[in-house]
Amino acid sequence: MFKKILIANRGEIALRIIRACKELGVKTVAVHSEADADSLHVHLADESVCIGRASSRESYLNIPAVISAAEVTDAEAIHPGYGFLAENAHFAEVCASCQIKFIGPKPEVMRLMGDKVAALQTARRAGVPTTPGSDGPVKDEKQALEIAKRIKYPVIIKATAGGGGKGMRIAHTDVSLTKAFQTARAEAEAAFGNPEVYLEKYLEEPRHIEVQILGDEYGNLVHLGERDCTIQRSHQKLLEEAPSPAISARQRKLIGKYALKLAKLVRYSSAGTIEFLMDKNGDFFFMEMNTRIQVEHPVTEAVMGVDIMKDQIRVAAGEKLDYPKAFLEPRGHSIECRINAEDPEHGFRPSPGTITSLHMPGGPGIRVDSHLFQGYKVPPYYDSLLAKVISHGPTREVAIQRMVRALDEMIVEGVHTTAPFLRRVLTSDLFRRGQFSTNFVERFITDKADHTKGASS
Amino acid sequence: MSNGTEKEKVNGGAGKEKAKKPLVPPAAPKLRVSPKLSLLQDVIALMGEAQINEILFEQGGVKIHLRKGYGPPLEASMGSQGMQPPQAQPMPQLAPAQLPITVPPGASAAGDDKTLTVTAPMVGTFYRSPAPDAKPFLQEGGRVEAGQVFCIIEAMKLMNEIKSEVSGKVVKILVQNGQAIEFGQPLLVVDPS
Repeated sequence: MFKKILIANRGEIALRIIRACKELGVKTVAVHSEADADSLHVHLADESVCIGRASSRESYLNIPAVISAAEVTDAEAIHPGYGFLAENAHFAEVCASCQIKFIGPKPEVMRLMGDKVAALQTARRAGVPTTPGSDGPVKDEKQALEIAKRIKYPVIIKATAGGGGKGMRIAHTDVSLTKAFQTARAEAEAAFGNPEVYLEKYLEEPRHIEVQILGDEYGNLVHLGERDCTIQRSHQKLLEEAPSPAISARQRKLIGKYALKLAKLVRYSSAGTIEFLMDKNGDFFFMEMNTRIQVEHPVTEAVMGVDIMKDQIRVAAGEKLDYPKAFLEPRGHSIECRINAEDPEHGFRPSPGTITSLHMPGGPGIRVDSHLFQGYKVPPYYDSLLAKVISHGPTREVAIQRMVRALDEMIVEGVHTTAPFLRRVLTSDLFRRGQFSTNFVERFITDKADHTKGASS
Repeated sequence: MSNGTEKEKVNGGAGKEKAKKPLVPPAAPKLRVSPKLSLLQDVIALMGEAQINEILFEQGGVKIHLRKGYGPPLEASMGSQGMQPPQAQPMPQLAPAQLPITVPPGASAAGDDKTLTVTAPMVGTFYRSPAPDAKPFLQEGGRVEAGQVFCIIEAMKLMNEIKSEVSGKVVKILVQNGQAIEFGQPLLVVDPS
């Protein structure tokens, strides 16, 4: 096991990593920007190093500063969390060349699966169904129109270097495709430094179902079941649950099998997630793979009784995975609500500020992962995630009940949060019935009638 | 390590050890509500330490607005709720020690002390001389000129020559040879007069 790990991240995930390290007896180093000097993860780590000014580019994305901090503190390994440098293959390579263990998959695998087009091609090689599409980058409008004719509208244009729901455009006609194609290329260039785009059939009203996998460095791979992340706004997840209320045991086995086939083909190690879209007929299509730990990992931890963070650190330290051969069925149901500093009454605009009053919920089946404390000043430079509230219960109904209770109990004052909005979602008839697709939030916002029980929808 | 110098880990440098204390939730904002006069004194002291020209401070029903004699007033809307990019005047909650005081914009610190503090522009290991057995770049009591290399910071096996942005007399060198330092760490006190 490592003696000391440096956490190249901030906020709630930095705290999550520190907690796992403490349980494993590993010393921790927190790196932080000047804006985060008073942050909870900085207080709780054994050591801390200020690495730069507030902007991400000068601090959390500043590879030389992060590496230098690891060197001066003699950290043996770096955990990148999610976002920032977590899927940066170059950073992983720099770590390796400095004899620092990067807690994540190998750089080649990150590079392969991080390229959306290459990932799709790899999925096909593994025999995993993929959405019909361009099978590669689209070089011009003429080609885009030809492909759209073949796979039929509607289609979606995506950036090959993209992810996280950014740089995507949907088109329903030749005219809108021509316009969208150019716009998407410009956006991709601006956001990711790479204008390359590809085309896919746009599945209407799909569900977003992802499978958690875990691999050690000896070739052992397991999947830990699926999560349903269909509740999204502008392709940003708001709420996740495990298991999915919309799939059968047979379907669970099937996507688990697909996920393992793909992971085995690329010889995946560490934690990762394979995302699928499920159409109205219950057919699955590989969408993309995330070669990192994800925000919503706690719901899997709840229903599978595992600690993915500790496992991730253990496999990086060279330990063998010790999971039973047969897949263990999930126990009960778990829901996670992402509480963001956003104002749902005003288009979810960011709402930074100082937390003047704070009370986090507790009680049976409630877990809170948060870096908040009373008096904490939520900085405007980073993402708006304040807290993750996770509920667990023997059934989906109890998990929902507990989450509603927890959100009612929770007090976060000084900033606007998405908690009241999420509470309305949870008590809505449509959500409770479990039959919804990714346009749920859009419909929910425009059709408030849904949020009272028994209303027609 | 390329130049063979032992890295010393000094308390107060990068990778500061936290005193082993029971896990207590961090206290509320650093300026606790105290009897009004004491609060006013705290705010005035903060203005001096952090070289703030104007403060709008509000807590527990107490509102304090202090302004030094120069500079245009702040907008009324700017308060602790403001989601503004970092201004020259930091918000009260920031601990003064965390600010990167390289060359304070014109204004001198409160009181007669006109010295400037030069801080580290990067994370790494601080070396006083270009090589282990060479003469140090600077001595306390000597001079430093703007544009002059005054130390080496080693990061990722590269020796980075750090140039001073100020000229003056070297009053104090705050770190030791071979010490691990973090971004913004005070390195030198220079008297520019």
